[in-house]
Amino acid sequence: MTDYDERFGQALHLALGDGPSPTTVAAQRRRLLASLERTEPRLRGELTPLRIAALALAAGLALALVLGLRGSLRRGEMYATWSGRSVQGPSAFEAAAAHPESVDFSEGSQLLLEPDTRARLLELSATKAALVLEDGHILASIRKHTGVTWTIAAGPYNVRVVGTRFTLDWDREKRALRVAVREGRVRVSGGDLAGDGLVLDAGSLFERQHGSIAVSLPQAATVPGETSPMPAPAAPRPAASNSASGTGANAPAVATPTAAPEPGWEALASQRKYREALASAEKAGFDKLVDELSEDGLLLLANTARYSGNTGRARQAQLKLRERFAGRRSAALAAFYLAREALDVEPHGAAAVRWFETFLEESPRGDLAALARANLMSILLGRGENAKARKMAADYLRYHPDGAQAKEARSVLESPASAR
Amino acid sequence: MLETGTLRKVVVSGPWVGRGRDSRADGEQNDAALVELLQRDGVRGAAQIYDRFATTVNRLVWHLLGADADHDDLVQQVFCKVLLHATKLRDPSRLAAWVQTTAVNTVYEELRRRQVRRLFLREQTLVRFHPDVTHDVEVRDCLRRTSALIERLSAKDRIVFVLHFVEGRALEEVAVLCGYSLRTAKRRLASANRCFRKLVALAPMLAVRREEP
Repeated sequence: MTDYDERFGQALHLALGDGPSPTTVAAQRRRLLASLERTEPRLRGELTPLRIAALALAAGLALALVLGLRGSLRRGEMYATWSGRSVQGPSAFEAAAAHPESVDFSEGSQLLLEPDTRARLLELSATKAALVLEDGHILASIRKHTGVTWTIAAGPYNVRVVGTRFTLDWDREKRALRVAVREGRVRVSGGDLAGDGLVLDAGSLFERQHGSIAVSLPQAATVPGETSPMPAPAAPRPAASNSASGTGANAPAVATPTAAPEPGWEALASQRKYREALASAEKAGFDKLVDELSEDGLLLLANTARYSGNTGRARQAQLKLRERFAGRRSAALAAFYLAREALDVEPHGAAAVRWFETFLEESPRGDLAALARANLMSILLGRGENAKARKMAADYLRYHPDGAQAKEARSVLESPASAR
Repeated sequence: MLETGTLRKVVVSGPWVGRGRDSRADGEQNDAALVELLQRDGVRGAAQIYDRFATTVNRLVWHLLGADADHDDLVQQVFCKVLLHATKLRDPSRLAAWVQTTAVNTVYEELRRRQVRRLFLREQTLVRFHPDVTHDVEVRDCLRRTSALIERLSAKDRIVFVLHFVEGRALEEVAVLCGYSLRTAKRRLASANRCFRKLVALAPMLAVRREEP
């Protein structure tokens, strides 16, 4: 038995590791020293018995505050979870080249960083969250009425967010910005946009390529009293390389073909020229490609269609991925994106539920599982399917006990209303 | 020993004492100097004491409490106690050993508090891990199962068990850290082993693992 105890102890030691991360230890140090400075500014002198007594009293009060008000203090704190790590200060996020990764915030907001996306968190507090999208694509779901002001900078542009769901793409090389708002409202400013910038409502698509024409603004709107929904560009534009599209929120601006020999769609996609890549794929025969491409190629094509805003083609490629590569990781990923797209069409629709459930069946412990469970829990509550929502909340706590939505999951389980 | 709410002054002895696992060769001298610095300049002394013992205290609390969500608060409590009482040490060169004892006592008090809450307030607490715990779901599941098992040991048994089997400390060392005689430490470990054996028999998943080579 003792041998087993020893092996158990060793296994537990291995699982636990040797302690918290250096970041946590540094935060502890800051907190301890700050509390000492606050409670006893005269501590710099000799520790006389009187001062020790004062320090004891102050530390006791601080301790009582820590213990007694721990819950309320935690409520005031805001943190993000990235790759299982808690993040409270400036940090860099870089999604792997192969798959997307999510940043979950404690007040319920989520950012999904698409593959190969780089972003930085500049500031995070109970009232403010400031990020920079350095390059790539973000799918953002920002909680409303949490008292947090969200801003995401992309190059010279700034996107100020009021509770909403939107996608934000920034191509650093081409200095191209694309904002598609699904829900709520955002304000885009900076760059070559004049004054306070532009307010976008749900359904709006905004595309801007700094230094050349690449603008389509099908349903941009201003807030009451504002004028000039599309401010004039600051610099004269060269001849159009892309056509502006005004046909609908999801209609992409399609690249104008040039006389020079064209690179293949894959090369264009790897250069992040997604609209050009999709146009090239259409030329090569999209229907044929989805039947013939390898798993990685088909995933790239689906993502290309998605990034270029062609949801129809994206869906076609994703469904084909599921049909041809059933059981593979890319098929599960396709289910996840199909769920997100279904959510855009109908926020509490059965299709989104079905696709998220499919994704979780196929990838119950994957990187995106927490996000899928949180989404599913929220959709099921919205649909009034309380029993299923409770089950999902229990699953969430089982798999992601420290996840950003753990508090919400607990409240679902504890709520008498959801028990009915 | 390990009485709730008391901070004991331990007369420490033994070959390991004063040479904490992360201490330097001249640790005792440095420790005495640290206490002196704390008396002279509280804030600078506090910073240096934290730097000197942060790794030791964090590791001890992390293992004893099982990477608990309240880890940071407990470490803060340990350092508050250390900073308040270090200047009263009869032998400042024993600071390293005393800091570890303080950490053990603080965790013990917390475990006792939790047991009382569970007993009298019927408070069912979910095992909540610190955000720094690995993201790997399988490892977390394993931790959850083992934590649930260890939670069921008494606070005293748990501390002796973890110090010996997880921290890998010799029984002599465990005895000094907990303020026991060696004989008491052996008895306590035997008691922890007995309880653990019973609990493992009731935990099918761990029982299966036991058969693995």
